[in-house]
Amino acid sequence: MARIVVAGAGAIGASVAYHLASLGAREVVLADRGRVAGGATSKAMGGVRQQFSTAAEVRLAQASIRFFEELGEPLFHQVGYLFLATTEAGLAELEERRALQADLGVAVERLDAGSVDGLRTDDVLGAVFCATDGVADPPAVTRELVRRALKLGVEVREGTAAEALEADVLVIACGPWSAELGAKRGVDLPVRPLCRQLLETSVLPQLPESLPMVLEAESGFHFRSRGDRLLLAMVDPEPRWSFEEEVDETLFDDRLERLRHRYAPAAEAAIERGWAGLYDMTPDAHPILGEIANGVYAACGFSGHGFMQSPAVGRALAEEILGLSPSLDLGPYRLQRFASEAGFAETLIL
Amino acid sequence: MLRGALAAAVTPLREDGAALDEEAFGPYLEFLATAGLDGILALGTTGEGILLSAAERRRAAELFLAGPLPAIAHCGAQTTAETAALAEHAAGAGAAGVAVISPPYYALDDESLLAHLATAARACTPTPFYVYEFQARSGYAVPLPVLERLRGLAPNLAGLKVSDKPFEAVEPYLLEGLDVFVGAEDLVLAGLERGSAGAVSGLASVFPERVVALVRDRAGHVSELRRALDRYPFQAAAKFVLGRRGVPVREDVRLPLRRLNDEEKRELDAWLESL
Repeated sequence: MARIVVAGAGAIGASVAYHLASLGAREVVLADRGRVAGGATSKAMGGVRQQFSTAAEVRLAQASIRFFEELGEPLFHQVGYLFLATTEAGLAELEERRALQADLGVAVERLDAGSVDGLRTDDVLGAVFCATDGVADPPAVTRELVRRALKLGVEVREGTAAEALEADVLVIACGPWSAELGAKRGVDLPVRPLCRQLLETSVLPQLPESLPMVLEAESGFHFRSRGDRLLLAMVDPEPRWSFEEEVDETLFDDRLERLRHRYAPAAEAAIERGWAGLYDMTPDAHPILGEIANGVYAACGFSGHGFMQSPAVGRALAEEILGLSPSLDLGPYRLQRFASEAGFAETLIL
Repeated sequence: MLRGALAAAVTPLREDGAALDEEAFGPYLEFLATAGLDGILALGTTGEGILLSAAERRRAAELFLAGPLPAIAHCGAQTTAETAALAEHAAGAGAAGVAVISPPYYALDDESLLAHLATAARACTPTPFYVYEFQARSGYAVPLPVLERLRGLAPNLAGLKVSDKPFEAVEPYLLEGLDVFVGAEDLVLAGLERGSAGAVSGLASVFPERVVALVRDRAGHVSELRRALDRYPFQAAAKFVLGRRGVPVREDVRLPLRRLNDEEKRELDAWLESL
């Protein structure tokens, strides 16, 4: 049987390796130049949502949610995602997406945002809520997948460059570093790094455990609770296309002001810490999945929503590699799409 | 992600234990790596971490991390501030993990202990964090509800090193989704059968090959070796035997620990001959 080497032991690589082994692959190596969950996975927000703007992406998310539900507490907290609109245009967009999502069977409903304690709603024109969305801790989930993979016989090699290992099949799951490995195999992967940052507040004693992920549709500002603190994120005013992981502290005051405006229990909050990590962006913000050269597969370019899709992607790609009938259609995610003009850009990048 | 056989390494000292023996770290770590260990825990109970100054602990952590094996740095100290500062330093220096024991002397209640551990874990995030549970040394056990709450506060909580005895005391800590390393060599096999991640063994600091065989092949008898060394002050005995095995680690330990006396050395020599 073929020896399969998965390059990159983040959320995606761990899921591919685990699913390969669970589907019967005997010789699977999960290799990382650094450590398990050491790269972007360790920096991520950990939101898990089905509310996307394209059908393909919604389906990936739906299949993944089922896996997260099986993982359950304490790895997955199904607190829901609440999108708020403060303009007519924003509301119209939410409604349009809600219709698409409802057609695909995602239970997204209109909600009176006032029902969430502490949320300021006098400027909110409307809100939609999906109760089956939630939040998870990406490194914890990834370590759990690696634990399960180890039990199934996967060999885990940390501090090891995948290209140094003999492989019949190579899976590139290196996030923003995927293009580098692709080039070594003669394939141009249009994946480039975008530096993003997360902020964490001081301890807020009154946070309810059930606080959903709250998102402002127009600005993209969003926050969630983690333990007794809030995590905040928002798109930078100018995108930072770089491998440099730098925290821009000049944005702290603005983010804190947005939080205090929106959420009364954060009135006394301070920003205690910020960190930066890398999105692996593709031109249309969709991942690249499938065979890109003889014996070389890609699972990269997730553009900031890889963790939440990692269960379904890992399974579907593993099925494809093993020649099984795929549980999901990966057709929309082939590398070849960039050769033509026809695209289907994901517009909801948070 | 650490698994398997880890040595609770000794810390090479010189000048009657007053200074780090920097030149001995390299050969000692080579000796451990050659035996096939998967990693080390530095500056724990065997490693006299709690007896070293904060500056020495930082330096020693760097020396251990320069070696060929991935290392968990034990950063537990008496105060939260010192623990967090050491944890942050170890993470920055490239530790594969940070371990922290409950601070000894004051029996902390749940609230204080949780805050201490959460602050330490946060200081080293995203480096994996391990709770070092050793009731006989800290004076009190880490209550399970504290661990459960810590999981919610510290996403980098990766597992525990549990050095308690007997197995009934270890068992409650074998929680799903956490990597548990068993400290007591007698209990390593029972732990592995119940899904533990491996062993962090003081004996492996002297006889790494025996503990590697125990974990990897589930073979060999290590209890007698451990018992033989436990008749003496362990850190001194470990360093003495290392010297006898040709590893350039001196006998020096940090006061108030003491070296072996001549009679004890003669006994150990005779025992080593009999092996």
